[in-house]
Amino acid sequence: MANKVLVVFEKPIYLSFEPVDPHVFATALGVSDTPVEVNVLLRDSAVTYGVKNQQVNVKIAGQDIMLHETSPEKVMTFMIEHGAKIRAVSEDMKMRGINKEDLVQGIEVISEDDSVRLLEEHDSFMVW
Amino acid sequence: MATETTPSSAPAKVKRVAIVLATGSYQREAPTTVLRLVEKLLQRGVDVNVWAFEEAVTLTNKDQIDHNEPGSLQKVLGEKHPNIGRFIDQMIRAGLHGAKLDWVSCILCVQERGVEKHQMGGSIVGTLGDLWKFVKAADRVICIPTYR
Repeated sequence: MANKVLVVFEKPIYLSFEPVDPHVFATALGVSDTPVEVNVLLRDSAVTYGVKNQQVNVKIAGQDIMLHETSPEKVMTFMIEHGAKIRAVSEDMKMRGINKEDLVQGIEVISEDDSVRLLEEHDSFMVW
Repeated sequence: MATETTPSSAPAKVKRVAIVLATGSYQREAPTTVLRLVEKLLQRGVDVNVWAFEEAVTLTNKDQIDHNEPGSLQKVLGEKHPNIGRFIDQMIRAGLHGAKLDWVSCILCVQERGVEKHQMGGSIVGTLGDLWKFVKAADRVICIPTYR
């Protein structure tokens, strides 16, 4: 039985009709509603999930498509507050001009090499 | 050295745009982007024809509901979120009083997914013949495939 799961995000998705990315949603639900330890690795383009102060409100026909103010930052913070460790790969951040101070508080920056260590520390993996 | 010059010519005004859309609403942001684009085009007086196929035919399912979010996440996500059908309906109705929006769902795709009888008013179940007419009549064609 998997007790320690690493969730790997590789691609960002914004502004679908789910509040934030459904995968982030699903991961947050796992953190809050199950006894399984869930941790997150943001790599490739998904490092943008970790950037704070994103505004995701969009109107169509004068109506907000998200009735609630929802941003990746809120979900990331929720996961951290519920015990998840979130890491972002520094090389992928650098390529996209993202600095450590741009990230949501509590996200740890690790190197590509160091991310391999996570494969040893977890017993199951989900890659979105 | 002589400089080659080409006579300047203003681009022809775009009057009709065809959008070919293949993605569903809860997988990625493409339908949201399409609706934002449609709204701007209609406001500019441009007629828009959307050809929806593959998973995009579920966008006009009339039986979508605004479901509640899980209780443990409501502080983060809110109590519920709206469905995309509501916004498509508004776009089609907006087109009734200005530039026009036609939204056609592929008949084969709606049948495969069991949503033929669930298509909302205003959307049209059509064939590849409609797609051909849309493309032929369009000044610009935008195709958004299913890739992720």
